[in-house]
Amino acid sequence: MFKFLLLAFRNVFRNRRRTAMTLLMVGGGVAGLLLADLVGLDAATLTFLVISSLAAALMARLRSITLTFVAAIVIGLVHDLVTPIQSLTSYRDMTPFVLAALALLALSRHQGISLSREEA
Amino acid sequence: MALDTARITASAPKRSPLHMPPARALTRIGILAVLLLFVLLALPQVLSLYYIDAMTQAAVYSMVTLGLGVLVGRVGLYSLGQVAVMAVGAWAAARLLFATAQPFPLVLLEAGLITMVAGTLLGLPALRMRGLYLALITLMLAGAISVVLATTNFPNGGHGFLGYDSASAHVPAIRRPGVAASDPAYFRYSVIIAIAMFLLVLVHLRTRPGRAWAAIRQSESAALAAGVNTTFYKLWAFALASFMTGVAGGVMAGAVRYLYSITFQPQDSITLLAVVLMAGAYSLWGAVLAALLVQLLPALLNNWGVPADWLTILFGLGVLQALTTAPRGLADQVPKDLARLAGLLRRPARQSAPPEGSSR
Repeated sequence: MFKFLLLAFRNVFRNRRRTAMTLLMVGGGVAGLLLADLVGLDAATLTFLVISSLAAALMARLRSITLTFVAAIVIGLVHDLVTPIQSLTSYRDMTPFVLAALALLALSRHQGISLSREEA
Repeated sequence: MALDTARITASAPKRSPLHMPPARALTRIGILAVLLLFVLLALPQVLSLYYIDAMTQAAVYSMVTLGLGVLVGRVGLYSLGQVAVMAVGAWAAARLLFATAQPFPLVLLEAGLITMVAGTLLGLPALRMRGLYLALITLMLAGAISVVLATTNFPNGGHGFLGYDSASAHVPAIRRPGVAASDPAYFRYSVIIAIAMFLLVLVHLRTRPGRAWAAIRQSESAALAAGVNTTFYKLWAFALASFMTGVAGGVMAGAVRYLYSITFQPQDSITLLAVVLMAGAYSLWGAVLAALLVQLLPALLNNWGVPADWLTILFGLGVLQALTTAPRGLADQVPKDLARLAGLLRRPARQSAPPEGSSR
């Protein structure tokens, strides 16, 4: 659902150009229109949504649009597949966070000391 | 040793009293003592219960902002999950307070240690990352913790590991220490605990860990080359911050007496980081200021009938301002600006103007 937002997110982190920012705004706006039917319109829910959509962008390590797209679909699928399982259903909102954390840990295994403090 | 401290922390704005003229150091300690006495003795007499409540929250949050200040300002680790860590501390303290009859300070210590273990376990894998990724992974973990807490709920005197009884009609309040049953007394109690935490951090900063952290913040590779065990000291910083945040959670549990998962929102961690950067992550005063901004200011605004939501905008602007023009935050900038203003005001009176920008 919020893939537009994700794509734009990735862009804005990758190259801080104005085009990326514009894309983020447009993407966010379209995502907002599509989301209006799905979630309640209150500030807390929508902020939380940004955090969880960030998870998908993180899974692609903020580097690839395609991967972000795939990650978002995987997150959505896992989230909905877990729903019927009784013991996990109340924890299903954790899906984006857990998947993103696992992906980050798995992907950043072989990392030496970097010289600049900004680079991850 | 003292020389070492001076050299490595030379870039930090906090000047050690050891290197000040003794008279000035004494004045400083005197002012601090008077201020503390005022907060401990006079404030609870003057303030209404509403503001005492807000000040208790500020005391609690000063421990959280202090931990975040150590992570961000001293070591350069950006964590966006501190509110979730505090929730863990609050959960542990509430569970222990319901399950056992241990004295309150012991429970606080245990809650701090439990949170320390949890926070260090979370920090262990996160240490592989730095900068943006570290911030984001802590945000993810905070999101996960908040979902778990929303499901399991905080203990309310029930049985079992979770201690939550959804059927209980009468929910008992979380108990407070015997000496601090009333709100003003509990305010004093939390201020004293906050002071203990500040002293703990001060001891750390003056000794070996503080020097190691300063070295890591300057350059991790240089610190490594100089023989500093960077992983160990980064974990130590995580452990210390988690411990203090856990204790803060415990004090919080006693302050509000009924805990709800809605109190600990993951997005609050983001606001908290913004406020810490805005108030000044590099000094201990910054932690106090940040706590006042994040807890007392909303209470003031509510009292004046202004929606506290405006603060989100204010904090956003404030952090932008801090990052662009005053990287050391309000705690460093305001005294400087005041000194400059005083200099400007004095100039017409006396022709010889004092040198500008001389702080203190």
